[in-house]
Amino acid sequence: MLCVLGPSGSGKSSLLALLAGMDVPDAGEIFAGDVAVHRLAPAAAAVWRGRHLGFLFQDAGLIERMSALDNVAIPLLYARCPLHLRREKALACLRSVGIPHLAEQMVDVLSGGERRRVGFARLLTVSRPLILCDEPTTGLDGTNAAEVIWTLQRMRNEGAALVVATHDPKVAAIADAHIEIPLGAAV
Amino acid sequence: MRAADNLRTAAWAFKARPARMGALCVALACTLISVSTLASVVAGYSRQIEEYTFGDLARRISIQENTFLLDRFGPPRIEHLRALQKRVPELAGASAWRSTRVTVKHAKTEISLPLLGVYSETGAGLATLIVAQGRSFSTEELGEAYRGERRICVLGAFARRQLCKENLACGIDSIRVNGVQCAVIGVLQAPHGLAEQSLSDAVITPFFSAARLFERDSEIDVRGAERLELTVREATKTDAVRERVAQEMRALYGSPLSAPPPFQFANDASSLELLANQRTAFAGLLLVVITAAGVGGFVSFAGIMAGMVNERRREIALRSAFGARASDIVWQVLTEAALLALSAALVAALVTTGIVLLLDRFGSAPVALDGTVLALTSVLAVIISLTAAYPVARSAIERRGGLLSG
Repeated sequence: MLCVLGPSGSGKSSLLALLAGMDVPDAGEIFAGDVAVHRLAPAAAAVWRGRHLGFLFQDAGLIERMSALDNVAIPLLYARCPLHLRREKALACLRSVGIPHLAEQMVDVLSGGERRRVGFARLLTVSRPLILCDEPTTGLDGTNAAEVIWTLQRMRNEGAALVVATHDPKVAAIADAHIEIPLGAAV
Repeated sequence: MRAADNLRTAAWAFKARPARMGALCVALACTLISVSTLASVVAGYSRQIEEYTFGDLARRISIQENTFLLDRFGPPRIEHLRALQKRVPELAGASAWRSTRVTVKHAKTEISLPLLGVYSETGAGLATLIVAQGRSFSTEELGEAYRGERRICVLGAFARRQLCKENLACGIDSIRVNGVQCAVIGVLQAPHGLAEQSLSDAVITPFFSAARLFERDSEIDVRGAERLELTVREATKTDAVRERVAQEMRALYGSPLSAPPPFQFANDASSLELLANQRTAFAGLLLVVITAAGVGGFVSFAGIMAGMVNERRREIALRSAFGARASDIVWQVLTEAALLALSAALVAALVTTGIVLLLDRFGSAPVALDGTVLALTSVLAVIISLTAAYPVARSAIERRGGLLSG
């Protein structure tokens, strides 16, 4: 588990986007295993992400005007999972983050904390070898934040590689390694 | 992604953005309505001109004696007509005609007019004998059973005007044809097409009445006809039926295939050629109209579609971030576009049908709406929406970045 630290605007999220192949670097190379992520075309990058990558967005990355359950089920949809299994699994993930009662709610009406938990539930739907998390505990109360940290640890113990961009010292404390980006330059 | 999931996602897009999808549907439907209404009006004019010009001429085969032969076999006969009706099932009707020039007298007016004698066993195929006043001939009067005892005539509209010296109030109960009294039982309506034109200045009587009572110096015997007119059930089969009729006529005449035929077909081929040219011209006009409206519709639809996909850039990027392949995104956008097209086609079909019914009832323009026009506009809708949506979908998946911040 690698923790990326730095003030707001330093480029932590941009670094994660580069790692995910959602952005292209002006210079340099990005490798995930043997895959040269910086060379992947958008379509190929999407296929690679679908197979290898889990992503937790800073703003939860939810699709508006869609229910929490459907948002959580999106990775399963593109993993060609049948509808009834998608719904079952997505509901289980919502249950694991403590918001099964919000399953049919449109995400537009959810609070910031609830939205982040929906985003986290989506991260749990499929197991991926590489997980990128952007500020996973921001906006969560102490109990929920502790649960997130516990889940991140569990993922690491199950063999996933995690790259976490955070301000939270509690998250930084469980990381195996740290990099700091003071003002756009990684140290 | 499965087709059912594609449809579900497309349905969600409709539900999530009703205003934008509604605008797209209306934009496309307006194009389709204008195209299909214009097409209906053009088709209406085409059909009217075709009807006025040719009537059922396109389905007609006219047989005459081949007078260019040295060894004359004689004119076609009533017996030939009856045999053809039995042997060629594709015929909807058949009639035999003979004509001569006669002197017609009414009151103090005496003029020279064509006299036409008509024979038909069923009356079928005599759509041109439509009377405006009085009555037409009964089936019995047109057939074999009626030997010409009664002296009855029907006047063409122009013949009546000549006899009345343009006096519209003039009534004609009887005329003298070559000095023989003839009761006028009806007057034909004014001609609407070429087929009716030839009857408008004539006096028409039953075939055997013409032969036995009114003709003075005809070269054709009583059962001989100047021409046989056959009406084919379907215009598209006219050429094939003509071939069949030619074979049967040779057999009836006993003329071998090695010899020139003792009969000839009248100039129907040129009429059909003219008809084909006219249809091609109207099809071209229709194509221009549809292309112009289609291009206009495509531009506006593509503009709104691009705007909508741009609005959904984040959604598409998120789907892509969670494993949606390029093909998934393209299929999703295309499915939405196809659903839009079908919705717009449905709306357009309903509105166009309403407009056409209103125009037909209250307007002066001839309109003709048929399933082909509606089917073609639906196809046009799908083509427009898919052609507009595809590049938009492709460009959406080619974009990178902008999803994450901070």
